[in-house]
Amino acid sequence: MSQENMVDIRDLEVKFYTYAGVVEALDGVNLFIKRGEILGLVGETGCGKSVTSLSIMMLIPPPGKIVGGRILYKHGSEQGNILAMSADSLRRLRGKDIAMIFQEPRAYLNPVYTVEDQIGEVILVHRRKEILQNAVSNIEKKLVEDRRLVLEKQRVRFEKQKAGNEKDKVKLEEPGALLEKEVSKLTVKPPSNFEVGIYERLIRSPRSRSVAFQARFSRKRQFKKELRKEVVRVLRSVEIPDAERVARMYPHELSGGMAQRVLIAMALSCNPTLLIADEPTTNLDVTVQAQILNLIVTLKNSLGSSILYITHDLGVVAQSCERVAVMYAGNVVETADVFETFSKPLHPYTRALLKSIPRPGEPYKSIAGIVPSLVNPLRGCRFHDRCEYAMEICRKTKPPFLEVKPGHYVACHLYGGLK
Amino acid sequence: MTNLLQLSNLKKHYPIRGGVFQRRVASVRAVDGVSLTVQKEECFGLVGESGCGKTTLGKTILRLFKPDSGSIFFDAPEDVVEEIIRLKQKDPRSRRLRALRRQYDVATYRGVDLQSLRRKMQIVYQDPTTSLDPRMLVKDVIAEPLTVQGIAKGEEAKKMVMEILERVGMSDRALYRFPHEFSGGQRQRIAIARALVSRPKFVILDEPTSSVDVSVRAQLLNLFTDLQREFGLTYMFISHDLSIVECISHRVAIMYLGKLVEYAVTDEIFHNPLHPYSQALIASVPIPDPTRRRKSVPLTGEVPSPVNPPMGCRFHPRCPIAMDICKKKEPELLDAGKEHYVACHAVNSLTET
Repeated sequence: MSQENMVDIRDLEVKFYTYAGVVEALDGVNLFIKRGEILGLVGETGCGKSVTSLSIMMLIPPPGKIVGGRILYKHGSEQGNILAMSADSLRRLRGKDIAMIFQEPRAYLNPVYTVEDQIGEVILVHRRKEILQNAVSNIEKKLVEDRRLVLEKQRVRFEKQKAGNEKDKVKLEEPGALLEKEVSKLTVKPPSNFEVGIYERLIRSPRSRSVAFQARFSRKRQFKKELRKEVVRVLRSVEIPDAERVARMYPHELSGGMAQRVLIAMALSCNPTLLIADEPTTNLDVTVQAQILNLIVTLKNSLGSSILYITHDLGVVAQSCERVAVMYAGNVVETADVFETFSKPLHPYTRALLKSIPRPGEPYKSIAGIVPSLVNPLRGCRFHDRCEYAMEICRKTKPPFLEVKPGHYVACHLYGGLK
Repeated sequence: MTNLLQLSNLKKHYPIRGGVFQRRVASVRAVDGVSLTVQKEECFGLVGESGCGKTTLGKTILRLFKPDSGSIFFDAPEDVVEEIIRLKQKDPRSRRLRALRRQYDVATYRGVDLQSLRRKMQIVYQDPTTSLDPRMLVKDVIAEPLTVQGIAKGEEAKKMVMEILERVGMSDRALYRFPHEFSGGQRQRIAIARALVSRPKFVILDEPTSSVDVSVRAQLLNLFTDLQREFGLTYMFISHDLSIVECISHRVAIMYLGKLVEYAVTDEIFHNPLHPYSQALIASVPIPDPTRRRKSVPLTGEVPSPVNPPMGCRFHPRCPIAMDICKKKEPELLDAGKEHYVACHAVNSLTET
């Protein structure tokens, strides 16, 4: 694995054991995502785009199973195989380092909780410590501020007395001396100290039972305030106007574009290093789609995350991605730079796919035949029955995934690898 | 070219009921005064964002909804249409007008008239999974319009079903199977066969390709153009995908919040859009060419609610060139030359002077 690849998927195989037979959904997928890039994953319905993305999160639903391959993930200087991780470390990974946006934003928002609650939950799970620390430091700041105010008040009184009444000179005291007495009497509320104590102990030992018990009686106001502030900040970052109001809304009150923004905000709330976007704009209108695409690209640039962008719209890919991977029937058939993919596609399927884009004044060119069933997939190259260049070898052996030009990988017998 | 369909100031408002007595408290102005003509054997594209009223307009034309006001003329003699429109303005209560409308204005049709009309007009819906009855065999699904309309029965009907199935590119092995056994593209073909079996003149295609893949989409579009040529069909192609509309339509209308903002020949619309909304909409379409990347977002904000559409021009809160007059007066749909109709004060004032 080279230095810059953040995720490296090697020979990933996923099978679904259904009543109709074993569906070979992924048949040796090879894919890598570089740091800070947008990789477009293109393909027709049922070709395994979503299964690939779910495998990265280890979220394949039963009866699906990952039967082979590796998913190497690099986090900081560490590197690990996601498939071999424990459930606990996976839970820490999901939503924090790897986040996901789905196609149907409304289906993924809980209708009975407000936007604030749902984004807050993500932040609570992954960034509790940070929020607690913020709460503590804010209470302390407030205490310091209170002391300063009292001091100021006393000083003013002292000055006044000095100037006005010479008789009472006996009673005059220097400001600081009175301070401790006054402060404890007037401003420092013991519950705040109690609160700070609880927060601090929560940070130290988040799982301690006695702390959890005490936390029930504590006033969580500052903590909640801190959380709300963070939610609003996250909502603002995805260009939601009037974020305070939107935060208190329920999902049904949001339009499709707004709901998608909320979902993006949720995914980005923990600054993920990898964002998986599974057809995030398919159900949106073109003008809103343009806004969301623009948002994703600007956020990527500001956060420096990598994005795996799954779509079947080649226009969207051309507009926003840096590299493209084309999938067909459970295989990645071609990966290349976006300019290269559109100008010099190599794999026959990629070529056919590009030709099927409707262009005015030209007849529509469709790909003959249909997508093969994955229950009993074709032997050899899975595209050979629809391929116009099919040779004898294509029917027998599966083409290897080779680098034919620097950075341009193809799985096709027509091309030999880079020597 | 003769007109097949003519709409005049068509309106469809959905009531919002509330209060104890479920009185009408407001209305959703889904279609709010649309006038257009569809010529014989053309493909008329209708484009707009979701919620702009394109589907409602289509269904109102078919009289699946009863319009609140306005007229729909289908295959009516032109002089009659003119007379009705004239009488409506001059003498809206005359007996002559009522008699003429009952005969020619689809908006006033009832009962038997409506049923015989539906033989000439059909619709293909967006999602064939939900528009086909899952418990009917394909042969029954397709033959249903024939029996309902009393066109054919038994053997004769079966013959017609097999004929149309072949035309849409499916074998007769499909006859005794259920819709769920087919892929999305094939299901859509069955829906098309069902729409065409009664040999209509006019077919509304309501986003027929939005639920299928790119490669299947191209097959369906080819099928539509072939069938149009073969049966002499007139289409109204409703879609939000501008790239498809550009390919298949002869003329295109762009809708925004229940109103047409612009309509013209396809080339005109796509290469010389005049209304600022059309310009933004066309600029929003992602171009499948990485060398032509868009730099900025063409349009910010979202479509306002059709319950309380903005005063004056409905686009003015989002319009980059909005003027004072746009906030007060609603622009009319006027010819800007070459049968290019635009509803925009900025454009209309240019053409007037």
